[in-house]
Amino acid sequence: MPRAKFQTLTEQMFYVLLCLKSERCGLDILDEVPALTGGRVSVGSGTLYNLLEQFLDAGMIRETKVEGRKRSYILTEAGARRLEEEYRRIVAQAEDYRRIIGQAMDYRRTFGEGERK
Amino acid sequence: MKDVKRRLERFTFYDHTGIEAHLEKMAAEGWMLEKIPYLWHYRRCEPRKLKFCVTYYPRASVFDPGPTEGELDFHAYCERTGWKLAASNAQLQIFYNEDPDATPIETDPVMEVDTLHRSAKRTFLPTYGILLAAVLFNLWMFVGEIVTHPVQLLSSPVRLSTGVMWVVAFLLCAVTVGGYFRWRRRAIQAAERGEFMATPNHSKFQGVCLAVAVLAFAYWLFCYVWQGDRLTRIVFPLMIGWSLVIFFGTRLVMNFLKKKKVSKNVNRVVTFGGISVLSYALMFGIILALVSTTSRGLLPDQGDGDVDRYEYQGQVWYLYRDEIPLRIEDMMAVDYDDYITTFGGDDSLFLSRYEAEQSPRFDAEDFKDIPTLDYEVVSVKMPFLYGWCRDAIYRERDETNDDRAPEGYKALYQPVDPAPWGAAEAYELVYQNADWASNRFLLCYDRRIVSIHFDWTPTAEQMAIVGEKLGG
Repeated sequence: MPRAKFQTLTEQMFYVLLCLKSERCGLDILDEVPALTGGRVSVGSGTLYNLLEQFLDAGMIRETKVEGRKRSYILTEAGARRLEEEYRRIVAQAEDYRRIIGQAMDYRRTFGEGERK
Repeated sequence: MKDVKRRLERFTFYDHTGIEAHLEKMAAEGWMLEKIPYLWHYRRCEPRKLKFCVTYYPRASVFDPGPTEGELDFHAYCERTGWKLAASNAQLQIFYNEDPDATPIETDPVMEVDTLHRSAKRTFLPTYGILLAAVLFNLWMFVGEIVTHPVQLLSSPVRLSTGVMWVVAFLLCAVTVGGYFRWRRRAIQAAERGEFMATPNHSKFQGVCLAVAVLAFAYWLFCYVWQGDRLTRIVFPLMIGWSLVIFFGTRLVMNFLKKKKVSKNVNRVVTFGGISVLSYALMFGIILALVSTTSRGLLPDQGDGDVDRYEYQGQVWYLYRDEIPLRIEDMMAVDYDDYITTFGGDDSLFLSRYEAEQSPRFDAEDFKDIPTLDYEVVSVKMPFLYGWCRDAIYRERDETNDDRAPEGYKALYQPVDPAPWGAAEAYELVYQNADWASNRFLLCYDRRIVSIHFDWTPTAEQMAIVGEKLGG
């Protein structure tokens, strides 16, 4: 079943919104995301263009200025809220990971692999 | 050596992976794409290893006077990552990149499927939807004709080749549209897993369809125009001219308005409105000219060459003198020597069929006392079709199952002795409660079916002559 729009942000959506925490030209995001993630995440130009359109339509960002082909955007309150929700979701996931995997690792460190029945 | 190559490419709108692979191959061979659609233009270049990317801009329209602000912004985004525009046509945008490791234009598979679908909904799907509806309507008519008039249809190369063209058009539409929705369903599932799905390539199938359609059209052309009558030979070029005027007229008007920077909505309304008016006006003019020419007797509606004419009650009538295989004079002496005889028919791989008629001129003295004769002969070339054709010819006049004819006044075929006719089966059409004979017979021979009507009651000798001349 398809997910509701922006219910879960993809990595690319997350970083595009993160870049727009402060006012930024859309074109610059293309360089900003790989720089921010050490090249782990890149956003394609078509994907970014469409994402910005959809974020605008959803009221998650707003256009601040237009200079020739350069359009600048900034996160709205709704966008900031959505970004924070996503952050909390990721943190919750990380905590779940640490609780389950972390506990097991602590146990192995204490008793060794062979002690566990 | 030519520097420009024009090719008719058989890619579907959504086959972006197929187009990309093809253009990369062309560039490696030293041909760079310059222009689409219709015939794709390639210009000779140094063989290069380029990366191509086909993407879609949903808001673009073929009626746009030029790239919109949004489209130019989109191009600027692509340029920023090294993607240069090679060619575009409305939503379809083709970019290339010299860097083999460039970030793709689309990096989100969900977004890619969504963008492609939004573009497809604007032109590709509505166009194919209308085409499919038209094709299905014509196929329905074709199948209906097979059921109701199988003999006329199966004996007509024109109708058979038309049917083949409709079947091919249906397969083409069904595979193209069905292929899109199948790809979309699988692409959505793949996108959920974060994967891209390659688009299906139907170019081989399209090539086969195109070849079959061209052959069917050539055969249709040969049968319809080459073997057709004079009227057909005049109507056909007129209809071709009409189609060309509409096709090129649409593009001419649209491109003129685009050059004048007229908005896409005004362009759309003016182009469609103007072309609709022009097509109706032209069609009306053609029909009017043909009716006027024919009614003034300037154009025989059947046969070739000069045909003598006569006038009767203010109308022009033609004195056809076609050769027919059985004449009244073969069966009896007649005191009239100015008969009009017509012969016409069709011949296909399945059946051959002809109709012949012998009748006096309308202005003949004692017109009603001069005997007339008409018959239809169907030769079945494929034995498995015999029963079907015989039953169809039988049902053409027999009203046993026809609820429109009131009981007691129906026309029914009744078996008669086939021996005098030299036939395997013979039927006479009899009107219920009528005290007169119809003198219409249905005769079944080995490979032939004959439906014959006399305006007198034939004798046994005359029946034998019919069997000899037509039963063959």
